[in-house]
Amino acid sequence: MLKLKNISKTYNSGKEQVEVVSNLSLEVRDKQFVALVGPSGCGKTTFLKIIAGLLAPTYGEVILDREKILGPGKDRGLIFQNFNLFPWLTVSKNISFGLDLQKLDSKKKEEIVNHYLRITGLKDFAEFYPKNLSGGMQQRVAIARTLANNPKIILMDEPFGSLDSQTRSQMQEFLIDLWETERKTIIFVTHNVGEAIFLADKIYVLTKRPMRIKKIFKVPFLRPRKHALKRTKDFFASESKITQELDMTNDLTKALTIFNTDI
Amino acid sequence: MKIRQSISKRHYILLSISGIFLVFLLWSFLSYSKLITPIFLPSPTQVLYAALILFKDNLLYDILASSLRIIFGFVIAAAISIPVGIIIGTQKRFEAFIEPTVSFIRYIPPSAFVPLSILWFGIGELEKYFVIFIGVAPYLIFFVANAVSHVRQEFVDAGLTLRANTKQIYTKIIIPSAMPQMWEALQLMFSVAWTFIIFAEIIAANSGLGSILIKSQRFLKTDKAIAIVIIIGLLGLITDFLFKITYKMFFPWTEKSRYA
Repeated sequence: MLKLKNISKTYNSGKEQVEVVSNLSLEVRDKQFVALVGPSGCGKTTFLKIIAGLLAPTYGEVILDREKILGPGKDRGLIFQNFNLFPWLTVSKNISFGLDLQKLDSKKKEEIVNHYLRITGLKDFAEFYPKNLSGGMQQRVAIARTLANNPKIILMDEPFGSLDSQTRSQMQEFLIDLWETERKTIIFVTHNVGEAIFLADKIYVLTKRPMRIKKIFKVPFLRPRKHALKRTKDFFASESKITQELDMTNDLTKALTIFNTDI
Repeated sequence: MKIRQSISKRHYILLSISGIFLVFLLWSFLSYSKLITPIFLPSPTQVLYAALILFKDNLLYDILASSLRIIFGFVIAAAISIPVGIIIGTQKRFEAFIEPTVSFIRYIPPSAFVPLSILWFGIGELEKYFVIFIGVAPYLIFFVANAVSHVRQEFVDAGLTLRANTKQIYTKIIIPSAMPQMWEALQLMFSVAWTFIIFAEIIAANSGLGSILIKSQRFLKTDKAIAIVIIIGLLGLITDFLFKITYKMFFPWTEKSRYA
């Protein structure tokens, strides 16, 4: 269980203080797939980095299984929007990066790497460098690299945001199949509402500057989910409901900005 | 012409050769026609002849002398500059402590250190190493620090979430990531080191290409001087080539290695 208690984050930019995240609390049960949806620039990346332990919150605390998080840990893996593979390492070396840091025996290591090469369908590309892979393949390597480290929680920061729409839906299906077999806790940040509904159990709609939880939706669709789901009436209905909510936060943000500048 | 349009290897070589050939043609025309007197511009044949005489008089020994000076001086400079640059590029405290001093030295032309260097170390090998060191190190430190400080924070973040400790962040992320740029800096500074050593040898030395150059001038042997200048250029081309080949060998993962 991951608990976030009253998380706030303030940045100092010159003399001004900008509150990016404001008093945010939420709980994520084990093996749950949670999506955070919010306008771009709403502080989602900051928020994920706080959970990852890369940033310290200004106030509040992150608690994972009764232990307070003070820094990055093996129990939380982070997947970035721009894949962020190490370009100097081959696909298999990227996947085994976390394992190489631990003193694991090489046979066990090889087993794990091969397992993930198989799952991600990258067996034939094991000795390729990232520069020779397509975007979708690179992101699969990044996911494999994180999974190979066996984290309890996977944090995904708009992981498919820079992919074309066809690759994007392939990757969504890949991720959902993976999650249905591996069953990890996933916190998935996106601004694509359809993607959030298709993937998650629970959706948090967020506001911008500072980031707060505006509304929580439970996704009613059963698993396993296939792409045909995206063309059903119920899916459209959920999508428009959440999109409306999101638009309202966008308008609100705009209204507030105008209001502030007028003062 | 399109910007960065790629051309075939054959096309590239052909253009390179014609560029060199054009200069050669101009030289031939000016010298064989005696438009410029041979004392100032000897013909290619005269220069070739002078080069042959030089080689007979043990020029290889002088090439070796200059090369060894560069290599020793450069290795010392690199061995100190690389770690210092890495620390400056990653630790603000060290940057504040060291960087201004290094920049101060960097702005002084290395040739200005030659007289002092002779006072301190005489005109032996030590003085040559010192000149190369003082010329190379301040720049190399700057380049290495720059390469290291431009390693993407996201690589470091990814390493941290994969549970790398500080030492591993350096050895497994920062250094490998900055390595190609450091290699290019070494290549650049090596060519600059040639400038310093020749200069130091012209001022004071009993061996080396620079000393032959100044002797040739004193005895009005323009043909020999030109031969030496060309040999220095060729040696530069060879080292450049070696750096490029090794770049491709060591860093096949860079975008650049595909075209280099």
